[in-house]
Amino acid sequence: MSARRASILLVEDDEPTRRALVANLEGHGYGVRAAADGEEALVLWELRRPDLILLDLGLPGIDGLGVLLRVRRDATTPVIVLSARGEERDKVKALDAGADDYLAKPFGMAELHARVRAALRRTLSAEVDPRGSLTIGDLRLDPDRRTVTVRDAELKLTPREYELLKVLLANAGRVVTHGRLLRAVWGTAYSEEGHYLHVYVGQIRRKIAALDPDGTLADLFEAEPGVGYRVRGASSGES
Amino acid sequence: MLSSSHVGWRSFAGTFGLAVGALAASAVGVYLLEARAGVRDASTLFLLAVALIAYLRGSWAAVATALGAFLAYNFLFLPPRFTFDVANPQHLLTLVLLLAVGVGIGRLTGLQRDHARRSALREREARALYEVSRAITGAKRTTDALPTLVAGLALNARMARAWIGLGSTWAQEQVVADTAQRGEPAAPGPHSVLRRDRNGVLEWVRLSPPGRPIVARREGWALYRLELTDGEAVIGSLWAAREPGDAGPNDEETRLLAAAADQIGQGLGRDRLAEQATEIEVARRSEELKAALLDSVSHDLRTPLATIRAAAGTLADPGVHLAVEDAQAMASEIDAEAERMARLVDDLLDMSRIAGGALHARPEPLPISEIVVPALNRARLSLGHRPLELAIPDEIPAVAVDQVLVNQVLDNLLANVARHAASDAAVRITARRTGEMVNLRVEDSGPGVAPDALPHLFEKFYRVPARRGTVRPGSGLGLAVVKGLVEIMGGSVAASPSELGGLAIEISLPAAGPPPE
Repeated sequence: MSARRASILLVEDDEPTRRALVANLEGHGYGVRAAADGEEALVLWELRRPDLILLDLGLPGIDGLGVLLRVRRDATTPVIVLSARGEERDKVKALDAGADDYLAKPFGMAELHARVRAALRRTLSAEVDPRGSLTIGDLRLDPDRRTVTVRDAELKLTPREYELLKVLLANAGRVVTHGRLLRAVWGTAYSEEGHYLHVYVGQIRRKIAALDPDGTLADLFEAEPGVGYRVRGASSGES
Repeated sequence: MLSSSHVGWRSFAGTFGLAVGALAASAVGVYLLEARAGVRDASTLFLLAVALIAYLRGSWAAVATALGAFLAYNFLFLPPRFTFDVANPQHLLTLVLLLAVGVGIGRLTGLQRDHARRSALREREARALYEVSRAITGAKRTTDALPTLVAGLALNARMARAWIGLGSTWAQEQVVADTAQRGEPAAPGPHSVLRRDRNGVLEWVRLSPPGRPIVARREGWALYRLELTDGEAVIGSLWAAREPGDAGPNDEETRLLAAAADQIGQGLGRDRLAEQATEIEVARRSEELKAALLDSVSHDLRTPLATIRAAAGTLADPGVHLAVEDAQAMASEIDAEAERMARLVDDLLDMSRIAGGALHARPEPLPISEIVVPALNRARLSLGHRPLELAIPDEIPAVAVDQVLVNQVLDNLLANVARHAASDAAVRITARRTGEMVNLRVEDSGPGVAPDALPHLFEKFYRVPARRGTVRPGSGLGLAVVKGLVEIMGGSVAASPSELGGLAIEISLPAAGPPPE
């Protein structure tokens, strides 16, 4: 625990919220730097290169999306976007621009910590399987052989279902927007209107459930309504 | 009585001719009887003429005829003949007797005939008036009855055309009902208007449009106007027109028109009152809703605020020394109460966006399990240990819904179960297809709601009356939001008692087509 003192850059223009979040995150052992606007955020980003950024989208001056685009030009640092509820469009824009996750305000501290841990886990414990296979719990996807197994039993997937699962597993812990999933699986020409993405996810979920009587993988996919899907983080030890 | 200047001349001339004819025929008869048949006094034959005129033309014509008979008999038959002198006193008596009996018969027969005629007229008038009131009371609104009314009036008041114009002055009226397909006098010119004089007697008064000379339109249409008042102000006119040359309306027709104008005016006034009452009712309900909103919001926001302020104030108070665990518990309460407030604010925002029509669904095919399973995961904590039964057959098609909105629907339905069903109540979620819709049913084993409360469940701010005087938690918005959102997505909601013993809420959502391969 003490070895992991991740640094977080918090960008939030509302002062009481900022102060409370700083106190909370520091209380949990993170090193926190806080910025009240986009300019300050970029200065701190250049100076400190934090492990994670908590980014409010509605900022005076350079807005959250501007900060995100600037950060993404030269780093893959995880970014969690903080936004008000109902602003699905902004969330999708931020996620498509490279944000890893989002939290709708007002959020609880427990939720914040879960997201922060998941995002940091991706960078800190990025153990790449030498053979490139993706594993979550009992589920394992082998890209070389194009097979998916649940506890060594093979999961029979159609080519589209396989591609869909691969993209989601490769981004475990991150929200992948509908648009990105559609482009990755169906190609850029695919229309976003009336897509059958949810139907495919439902089929994958059902096939997995058939091989997973205990339901340990039941909550593998998490739908972010109107935004995208997320596969829960790699190590399921903590929650 | 009525001043009807152009009525009468023609009928007077007719009566005169008839009387003269009858008297002449009687005189011929008397001559034949007296001179040829040797009857000494056949003057009673004149009484036949008097009775005939009385029968045909009424009592005053009969009296005049009796007088004529008296003169004719004197002049033609009594010596010295061809003078009005009477030589024999005996003959004078006969003559006076003839006059007296003639007048008597004439009056009696005439009165009888006048009486019968008046009865017939009254009956006709009553029937016409009855038609007017039946047309008005039979229609939902008087306005709807106007075309029938003008048609009936034109017929019963023997008018060539009748119409109704509405407006504050007769020159600015809009025609709302007219017996003519195409208007003959488009802009009403000089006309007679029905007025009541100081003694309450109806009379037609001739009017001309301002700035135009009064012209007697002998050859033009004769126009008659009756003002329509709704009890307060003049709101328009009933117009009637007669062909050129026809006599003006008689007493009976005038009374009919006047009574119809009264009833139409009152009917239109009632229409207006009914409209105002509807507007008032709408405004009242809107006020009630606002009051309920304020009531609900102030209560539901104040309760958590009270907790938050008390807890935060205690935490911030330098004079209070709390054990760490107590401080944490207090802060947790603040957190929980704030979350409650956030949910209420979300519901309120949803409700106002639904009411304002600002919410639009973006439907996409979504399997029922993709709606229900994630919702159950989200609600896991609040549903606690309630036994859950989930039955969604594989063959149930996906539904075409907006993912964000349908999630909100499920969250509200499950929150409703968590809030109102007993902590050990069984929960069952089932789906079935009905035609082009998929029905999703969420039910629990109790305690449920009373049958009379079921129809109100989806109303804004409706709270099921609490049992044993306890206040049920909840803002009364959750199910109203469910209804609003489901309807935006082209579905419907229904509440019924559940077989399990509690409440069943069933939402119906449009099915999506099968996925392309």
